[in-house]
Amino acid sequence: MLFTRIKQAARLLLVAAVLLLFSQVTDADLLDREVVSANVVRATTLDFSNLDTANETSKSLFFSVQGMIPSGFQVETVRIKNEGELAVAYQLSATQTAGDGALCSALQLKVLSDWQTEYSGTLTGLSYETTVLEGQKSDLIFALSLDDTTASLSNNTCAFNIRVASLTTINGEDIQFTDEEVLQNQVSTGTWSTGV
Amino acid sequence: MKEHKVIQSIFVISFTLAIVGYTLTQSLFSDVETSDTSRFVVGTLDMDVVAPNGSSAESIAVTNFGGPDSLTGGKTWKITNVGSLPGELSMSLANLVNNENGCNEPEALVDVTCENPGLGQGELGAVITATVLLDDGVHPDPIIVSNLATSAQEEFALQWVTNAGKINLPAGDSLEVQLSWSSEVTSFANEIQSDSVMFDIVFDLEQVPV
Repeated sequence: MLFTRIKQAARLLLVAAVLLLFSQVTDADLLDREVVSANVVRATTLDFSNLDTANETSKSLFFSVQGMIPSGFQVETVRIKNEGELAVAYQLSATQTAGDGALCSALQLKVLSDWQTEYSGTLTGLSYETTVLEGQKSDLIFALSLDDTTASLSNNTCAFNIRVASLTTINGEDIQFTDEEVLQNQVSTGTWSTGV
Repeated sequence: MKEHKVIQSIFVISFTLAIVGYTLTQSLFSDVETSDTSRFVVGTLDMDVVAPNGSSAESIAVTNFGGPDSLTGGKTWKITNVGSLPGELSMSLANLVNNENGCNEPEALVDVTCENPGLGQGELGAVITATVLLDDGVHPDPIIVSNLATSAQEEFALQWVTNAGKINLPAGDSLEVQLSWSSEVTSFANEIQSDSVMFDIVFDLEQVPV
């Protein structure tokens, strides 16, 4: 009995050996593994904020003028702070959101940076570009005035937004990250006679 | 008594024949050779991964993706079989993770997943196309093209097998493997800000089956 089993085992061993020999597939026992670890690709950031120049709290409400008359003006300030890792090139523009178009077009605006006049012209024609480097800030002074004495401008309102929008090209390089902040404004005019 | 003598005679004759036979058939010349250098030696399977100039292998480290001149790049590793046995080289990716790393204001406007680190929430890997090239002039270039989304981890090993098969690296031979990454500026926006993708690159050199 024992002899028969030994013979069976020997036959199986022989068959397996022949199969492995001709299949040429055997388990590889040696393996070396090298790992290039901790590969990292991280996206940068582009972000800026409008802040109050006095205390750096967030600022979204800007001019709020009541009863403006010809030769009247008001001054506001804002700090554009770069909160991201990329330099931010931004552009200022103004768009009417409500009110009288003639009044909005009659309003004049000056923008100063470092006490230098960077823009002087109509509110609706506002166009100013500058760059704020990483970790830097840009303080802007706005002077809004009404010089036009036309009577039809009296007792009117003009609501507009000053848009601070990042540019998608810096030094000829395309930037896909964008940010935009809006300063909301409201101006109402008083009454005056044509002789004012 | 007579039988006893017969047995004695047979014994004596047998003994005599044995003595004579031994003497006559004994070889008088002999020679012995000894192979002193015979030995069993286990082969070695070992590889080095270094930079093409021989310096230590560097990991990929890009921290400004999305900024100017940051959308393309590459890293090359020189794989050398420094063992005594031939091996089959393969490559795969492991521990591929896309992290959100929170959201700043512009990203929060377009992304609803803003946890920090936000494991698996990041969108960066999906917009990066990684390609793997070999310098052997035999296999098609690239042999792997895949993004780096978390779900694409297995693609690297699968495409290596499909497009490169088993790359035999004899003892002493080298092969340069390059991994390049790129992205189109139109393929992403604020949703990837501060996102990161991390991964390990695994090179295996396996003994050629016998």
